[in-house]
Amino acid sequence: MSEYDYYISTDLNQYTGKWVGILNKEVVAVGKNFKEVAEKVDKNFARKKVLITRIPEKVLQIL
Amino acid sequence: MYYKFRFKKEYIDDEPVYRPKIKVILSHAGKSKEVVAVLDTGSDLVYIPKDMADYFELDLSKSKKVGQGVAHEFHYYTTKIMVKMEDRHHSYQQLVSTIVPETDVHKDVILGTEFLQDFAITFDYPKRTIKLTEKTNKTG
Repeated sequence: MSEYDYYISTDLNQYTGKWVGILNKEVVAVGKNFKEVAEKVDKNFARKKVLITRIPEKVLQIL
Repeated sequence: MYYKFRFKKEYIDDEPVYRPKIKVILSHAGKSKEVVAVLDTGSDLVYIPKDMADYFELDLSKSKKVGQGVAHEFHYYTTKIMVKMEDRHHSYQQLVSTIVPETDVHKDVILGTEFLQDFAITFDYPKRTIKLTEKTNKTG
């Protein structure tokens, strides 16, 4: 299962409002914004393909 | 050639809602990251949060412009970033014009017309799938 497939199929609501890094069906980094998570990934998983995303609040979104 | 993705189940209060979120690879200045982006056919350009632009060390325009959001005007800089999609068989990449807000209007990466115009896009809401088919004959 790819990181994207794991993200799509998994309830990550415990991280609501946070940015997360996903690797091998695990959340391996958490932060308040993208930059914080990206820097954690660079430090700890530099050669891995970690998927970074934000877990949105449970509110209406109009783009 | 085409790329397939799925809608992500999220929530408004406790009611589920399905949003078109795909995986792309953003890169600049020797840095590259896989991120989730939301597709928005109503947006003109690509949007990334300010801290993301800082991470990738993007060269922002010296002057700010004014954009119109749903509810408010906002000030933004312009820049360019490489956006790539790939699967086991093929890949696509494009250097796209991108806006970076002075202060975040949205928190997500948003892929608008600037990126989407190279594709025929199918949003299959009943099946909760998204298909981006790359146009082979591009016209102005």
